[in-house]
Amino acid sequence: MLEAIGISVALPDRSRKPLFGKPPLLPILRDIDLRVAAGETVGLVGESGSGKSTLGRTFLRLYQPQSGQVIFEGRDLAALSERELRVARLRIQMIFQDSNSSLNPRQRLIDILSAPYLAHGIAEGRGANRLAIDLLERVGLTAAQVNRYPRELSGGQRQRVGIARALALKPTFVVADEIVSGLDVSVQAQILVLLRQLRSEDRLGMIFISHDLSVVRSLCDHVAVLQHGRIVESGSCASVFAHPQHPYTRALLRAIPLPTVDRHWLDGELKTAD
Amino acid sequence: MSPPLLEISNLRLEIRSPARISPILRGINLSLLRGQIRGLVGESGGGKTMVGKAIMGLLPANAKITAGSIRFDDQELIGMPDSMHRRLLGRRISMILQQPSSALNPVLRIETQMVDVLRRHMGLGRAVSRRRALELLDAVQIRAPDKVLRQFPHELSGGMCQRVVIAIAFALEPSLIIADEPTTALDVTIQFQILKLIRDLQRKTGVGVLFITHDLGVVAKLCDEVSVIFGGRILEEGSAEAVFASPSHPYTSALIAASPRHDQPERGLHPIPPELIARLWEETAFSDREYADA
Amino acid sequence: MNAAVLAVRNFVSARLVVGGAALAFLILLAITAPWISPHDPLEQDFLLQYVPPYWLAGGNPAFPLGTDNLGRDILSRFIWGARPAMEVMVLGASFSCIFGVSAGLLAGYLGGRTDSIVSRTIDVFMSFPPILLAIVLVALVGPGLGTVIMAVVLIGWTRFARVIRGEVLVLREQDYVTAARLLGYSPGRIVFRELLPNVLPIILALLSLEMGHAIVVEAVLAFIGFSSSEVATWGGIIADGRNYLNQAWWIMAFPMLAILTAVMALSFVADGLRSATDPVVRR
Repeated sequence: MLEAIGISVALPDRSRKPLFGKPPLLPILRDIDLRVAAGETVGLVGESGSGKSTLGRTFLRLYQPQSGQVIFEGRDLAALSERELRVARLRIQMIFQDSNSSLNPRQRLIDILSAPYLAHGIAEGRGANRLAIDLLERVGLTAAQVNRYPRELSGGQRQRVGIARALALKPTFVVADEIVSGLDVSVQAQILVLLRQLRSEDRLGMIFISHDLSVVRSLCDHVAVLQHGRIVESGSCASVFAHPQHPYTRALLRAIPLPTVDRHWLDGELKTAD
Repeated sequence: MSPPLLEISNLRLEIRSPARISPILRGINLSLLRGQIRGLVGESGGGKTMVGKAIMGLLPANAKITAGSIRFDDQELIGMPDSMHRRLLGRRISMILQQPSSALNPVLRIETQMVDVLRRHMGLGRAVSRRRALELLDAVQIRAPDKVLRQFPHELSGGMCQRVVIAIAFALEPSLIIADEPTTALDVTIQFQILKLIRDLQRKTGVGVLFITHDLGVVAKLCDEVSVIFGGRILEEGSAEAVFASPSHPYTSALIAASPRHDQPERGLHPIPPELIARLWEETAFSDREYADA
Repeated sequence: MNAAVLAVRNFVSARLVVGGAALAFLILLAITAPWISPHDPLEQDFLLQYVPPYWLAGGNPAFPLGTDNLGRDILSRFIWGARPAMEVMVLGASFSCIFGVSAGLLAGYLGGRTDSIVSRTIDVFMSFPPILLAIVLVALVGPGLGTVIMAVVLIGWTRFARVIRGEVLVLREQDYVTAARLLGYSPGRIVFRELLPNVLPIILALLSLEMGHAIVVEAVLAFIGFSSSEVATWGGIIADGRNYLNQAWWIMAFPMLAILTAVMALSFVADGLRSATDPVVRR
């Protein structure tokens, strides 16, 4: 079980840094409570500036919260020593949005995927390579591609590698940060199918960050909607989508253009707050 | 019946690099009537952006048009001298691009940019241009146009920037607007407002719009006509109603099926079958060979 | 077209070839000096002072580039002078690189205190006039090639450190570095396996440029007499020749040409390497 209790995060606002001294802190997240049970997928939805990415990274302890706790496997992450944290971290991993920097451009796939095993002494040389190839095949790529560089792959293929990398050390929880944004719709569907399969095989708990409610619906059990750093609505997907309570949630749903022709869809306004 | 505002016939384009020649557009046929919004929809690599660039004359140096014609208002654009093309661009053809930052100069205030455009293309005086700029910002629903005029692009949000870009696009009363993924980088609630704005302005001015996007939903809600592009060829076209209700090409139906819908959770995920894609590429290769032999 | 051929094609450019060839030539000169030098560079013959280069009036084909004030063959001294130049160039620049890159990596990746200390040290070193530094060093250690190398390292490491630190500050924010941290890789592994390969192109370019600097430093120090006095060095030859500019301009001219060629060649190589390893892939 992975849980955030009363999390508030503020990050330095570099654009307003004074000449001497530290930049002021800009509040990003306020009083967040979020719980993910083992094997469960929670969608984290919000637009830009909502703080969803920050929240995802706070779960991984990449940011320190100003207040609140992140509880993992019954222990407060903040209370762990450096070494304990490093061990705990291995069981929560992250999948990043596809970009030029999600995979090391100077490493071949075999290097990227054998590294986790080599780094932790789980295997060496040939053994690590074998494990890397198994990983690659698990995410739908072939052993023949093992010597390719990330720039030789398509966006969808790169994302598969990113997923493989996150699963190398058999985590129990995964934070997926906008992993299908920017992919073509067909590729997006393939990645989501893959994710569903891997998730059930490994009994993964997942936090799925996205701005796209349709994608969230297709993958998640629960959903939390973030606006300006606060969770304005949360619950099971079925209930939130069927009966959205908060005006922002309703606005988000209303604003999504579905592939059905409707000449009057653009009539009327969109209210995003009370 | 008047000729179409934009008529592309059998457009062929290739990218040339030292290693090889890659065909990008393989005989595109597309027409846009006055006052119509046509969506050009396809996935990345399909060639849709190149179509837009070819019309605007903004092709990269290594791209060559090898066949076909682009007629705007019965004038042939291919082979037109650059100076003439440039005069058309801005005055009669406007564009709205994905990143407002590529259209707006980051070191100039909004006022400077808008007034400059109005003075250069319409020969208006400075005071008249400024007043017109205020009217235009008002027309795109910017609430404090006076303040915005004095700001720089980086001080505005993405949505605001795009509104300014739209204002400039409509400023010269063009006949054709090429919009290339104008809302892709925007939040969904902002996208709604921008799409609404484009539609309302289009209805008011009767301008023709070629809306290039990968988002089927946007096409369904905004466009009158649709062209579906894949592998540099138009696979299907027709009215939005017809194409979405009963698509005739399997690629179109697969594309529609692959789009997730939050209102139909039971539907499940339907990636496009790889066999279909393979078959389509075979057909593309076949048509390349046919063309080469001809 | 074959992928390997394409890769080589993309890598090789006119600059790289020309610069590389010139450099290889100079290195070859240095290595083969004992065999190809027509005379002993130290052999003096007072009967053959100020002989002009063989293509001028009074020239002697036995001394193709002429002789100096002590009757020593310029060509031989020139060829032998390549040795200290190349030695300083290779050793000086390499140690400069190792030292500077390590400092930059540590400062950039670890940040905080380490960064402050390293950055302040860089500032101190950079504010010292290089020649002054060299003079102080010679005063402490005495003249000689070793001192020259030390001087090159002390002067040059800051260039590497600054640039690499800047690069690392940017790179460490990349997602693949975050992934490496999350996967529990040790900082050592992250710095050497994740970061270093990505700064390698810049290091290579800097190294080439630094080699050029090293040659100039060697020449300057030799000129002011702080380098080795027994061996023929280009700077030393220039220094000697300064006094006889009117009678025997060729004493100064050829070593100067050599230095110019070497530095330009290195500059070309640096430029060629930089564009060859540029991430923009030409397809």
